[in-house]
Amino acid sequence: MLHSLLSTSPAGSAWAIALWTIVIGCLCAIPASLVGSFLVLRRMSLLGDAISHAVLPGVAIAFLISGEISGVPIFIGAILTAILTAFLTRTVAASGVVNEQAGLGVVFTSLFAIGVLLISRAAQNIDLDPGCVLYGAIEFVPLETVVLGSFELPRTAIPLGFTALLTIGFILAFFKELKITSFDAPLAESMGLSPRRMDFFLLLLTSFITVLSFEAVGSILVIVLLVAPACTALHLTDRLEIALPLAVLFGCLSSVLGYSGALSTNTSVAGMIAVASGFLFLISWIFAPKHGRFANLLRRFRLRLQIATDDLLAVIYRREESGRLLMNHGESVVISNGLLGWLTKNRAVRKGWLDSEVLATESRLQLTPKGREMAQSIVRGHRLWESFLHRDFQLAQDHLHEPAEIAEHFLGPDLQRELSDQLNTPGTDPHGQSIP
Amino acid sequence: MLNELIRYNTLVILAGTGLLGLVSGVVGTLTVLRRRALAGDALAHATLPGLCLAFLIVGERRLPALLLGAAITGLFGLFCVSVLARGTRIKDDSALALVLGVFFGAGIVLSRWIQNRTTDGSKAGLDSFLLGKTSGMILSDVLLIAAVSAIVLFLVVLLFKEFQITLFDSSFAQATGWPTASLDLLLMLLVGLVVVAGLPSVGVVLMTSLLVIPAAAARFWTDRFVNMTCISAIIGMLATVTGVILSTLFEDLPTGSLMTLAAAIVFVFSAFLAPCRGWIWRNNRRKAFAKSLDISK
Amino acid sequence: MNQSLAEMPTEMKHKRTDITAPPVLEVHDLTVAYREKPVLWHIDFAVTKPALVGIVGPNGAGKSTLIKAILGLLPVSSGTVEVFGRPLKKERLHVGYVPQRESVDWDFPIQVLDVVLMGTYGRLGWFRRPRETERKLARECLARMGLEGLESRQIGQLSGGQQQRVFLARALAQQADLYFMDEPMAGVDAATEHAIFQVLAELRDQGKTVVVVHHDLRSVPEKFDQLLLVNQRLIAYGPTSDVFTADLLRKTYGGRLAILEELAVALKVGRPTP
Repeated sequence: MLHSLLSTSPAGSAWAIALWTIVIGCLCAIPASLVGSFLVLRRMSLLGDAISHAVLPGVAIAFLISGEISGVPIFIGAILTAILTAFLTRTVAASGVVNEQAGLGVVFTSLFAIGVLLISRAAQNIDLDPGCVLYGAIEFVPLETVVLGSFELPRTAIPLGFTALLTIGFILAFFKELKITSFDAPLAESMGLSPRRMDFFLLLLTSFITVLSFEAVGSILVIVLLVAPACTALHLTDRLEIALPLAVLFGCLSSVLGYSGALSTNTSVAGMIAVASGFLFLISWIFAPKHGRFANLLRRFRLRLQIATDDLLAVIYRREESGRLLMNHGESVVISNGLLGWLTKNRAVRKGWLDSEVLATESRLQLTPKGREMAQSIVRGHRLWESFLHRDFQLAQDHLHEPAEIAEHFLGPDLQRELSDQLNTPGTDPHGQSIP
Repeated sequence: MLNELIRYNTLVILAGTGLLGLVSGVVGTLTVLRRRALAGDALAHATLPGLCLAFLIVGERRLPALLLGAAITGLFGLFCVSVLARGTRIKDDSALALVLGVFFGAGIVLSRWIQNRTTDGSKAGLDSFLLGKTSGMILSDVLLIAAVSAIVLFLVVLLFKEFQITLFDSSFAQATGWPTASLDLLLMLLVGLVVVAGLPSVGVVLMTSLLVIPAAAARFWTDRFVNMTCISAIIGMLATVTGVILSTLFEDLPTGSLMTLAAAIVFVFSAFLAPCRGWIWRNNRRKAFAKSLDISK
Repeated sequence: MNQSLAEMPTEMKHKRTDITAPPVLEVHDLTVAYREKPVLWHIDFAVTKPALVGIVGPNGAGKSTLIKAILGLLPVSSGTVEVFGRPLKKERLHVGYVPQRESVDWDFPIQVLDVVLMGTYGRLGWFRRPRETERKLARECLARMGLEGLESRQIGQLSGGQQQRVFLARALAQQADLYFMDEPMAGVDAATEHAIFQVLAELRDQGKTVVVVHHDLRSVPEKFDQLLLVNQRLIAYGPTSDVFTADLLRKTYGGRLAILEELAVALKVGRPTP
């Protein structure tokens, strides 16, 4: 099936064109998201941005000389200008007069301007116009084909596929070096792994990708494929080994979504790919399980709920300890009101810590045996911490309760045991109350 | 050819762009020293969807409405950058690149959408915002630029001391009671105003160059903030005026690129020749120093 | 007012009730947390009369954080700061500050005199520019720090010690009554350190209070009147002779920190499941 689809001439059926457009989008996205992950980690995203602008004059000059819109001369021209960009930026920044971001700004805008001028000069007699440079024309890429063996492929697919393989190969071969130089450049340097050399390779790959993706997604949108999938993936995981394939996945997903989005609205595929990858990032930014906004809020709320429950149990425990039937005013203040209060009691009942029968009257709340055990552990943590503070920091008695109130929620059994050992298993806290 | 230059239209255009260069030189100095040279870049790219949305809403090419739309999405883009860079694990450079690209992509999608809808296929002239076009500039455009320049220059002159202290040493400024966060916000608003005013003539892509290059070039000539601001303003004006003159000579070339190139030439010139900080001086000093070491041996 | 410290001398308590002279600086129950991880806990002290106060503690003990929190440069979880009996926000003109050297962009296009002039900005208020009076004052302050003739140098061209002295000159130009200095002796040469201490002593003799974050324990006993030992909590505060003891220093620097750290980790990652 796939074979028959692929072997049909790309220019032939609408199906084949759609498929090939997506394939080419993915072939741009795969190396871009891989290299982009490292650019993001090494805080070189803006260099990626700069290169994607600055290769323009190289492309234009090579085009003026060779008269071809693709091929080896364009490749060389672009790579030379990419290296020139990095070199010039470094030189400007090294003068110490202008900071790095400004240096970058000076270099890439100037080069881009030169590129635009050259192209406008040349545009009179050929089909290369600044608009195409800025946002590409992936729609037309499958129409231009070459025959390779029994396959008829879009011309661009071959170098793009080659770059994708090269990038994957490079990352597999130098994964260890890339990882350490990205994480701790001075350490890597001291171990003889030059971060500079890795920078240089990444730079070369970035320029490869930029040049080849040029026709398809345009110079400005390459930056989205470099940065967005990487940021999305890095939001979802803490491990580089997982982040890289995830980034590739998101890159490809972006091109699929972008293509179908553009198809249904009859708009620019490249623009839609950018929007789609931004959309994917937004989703991971909000909903990522660990680092997402939503998870952060939820975690904070859970902690508040836990603390409120602990407080509730401890208050009831103290009341029961003192043998009173009702809570005094100071104790009932501690109990949360409103939604949090309701959730707190609900949670305590659900966990089997609170006797649900007397739930209605707040001052008469009762602990279950299981709840009493839990409350005992909390109060024990509280009083142990008070003892610790009192002994080691010589805080006055009236200054002990507040910090212990915070600490008690974080003292698990292990810490409690250690504290107890350090304090030689005290029987009472500084206020004279027994430690359960 | 000289006649061409002193025609009324050309004078109008020269006044407008000259003023634009001046004011972007001033604001650019502040952003470069704030180490946010490329904030203007993100802002400029993020104006594109605003331009298109404004066109969709208004239904015709009315410049004030378009620029208002541009300002709104541009500043929203910058707001996104600061939210992303502050609240999450995304570093500020990635946030800048991300916002820049995604907003620009959205702008391209919208612009194609408009292109499909408008029957005459004129693209509503939105393409001219990409690389800038000065030839269509009329008196009302110049008045708009003049108004923006007046506001920006007035605020910068009025708050010069306040900007200086926050840019140089923000913790000291904060400790002595200056509202550093508000001043920072104001600076970004000023950048927004200038970028939007420059869109029709310089274009989205190269607006950054007017904000960065004159300021960076000016830094080579002086060690004082006041002087740097003035020199940067002059260089900015010089670059835009030269760009316009060149574009009247070569009509098919985009003005924005010519302005950028003019500024770049001034930069190269400054980086090499400026006294004390220029490359030639520094090189000579280094040689003299090496020589003095030899002699003392 | 909580009397948290056994070390607090009795005459201070009397001073505190004296309505005519409110304490120079009163910090009550200051707690600072960074992402739910506490950095400073319940700091409580009062400087009742003009003095040279040293803040001493190990690295990461929160010395700089303490100064920044007092000055309102960091969000504070709880606590109040009063200067001369009024909230610090209303007394900013009487408070001088010398930040750490790293807080500044040394490539900034600004000359030495302009930096010192910044000290007068607070008094000038919005929109007004420094005039000849302010320039004269700034030159005097530079001279006092022994920096005559350097006024039109770009700030980055000075040596580390000179830069630090420019910062001090700027603080002098503030003409404040209470100064906070964040490690002014860090990375300076011996001559500069001596000059700085001399100026600090002069300020104290003029009836001003200087609070200095300091890292070199050797110079503590002879230089500071009052000493504040801090390690996330206030370990001790009082006259240097009372506080600079082996026992208290050990409590500040060494010993049972392990459990504190463990708690900090627990606070950061969420609590262990019981």
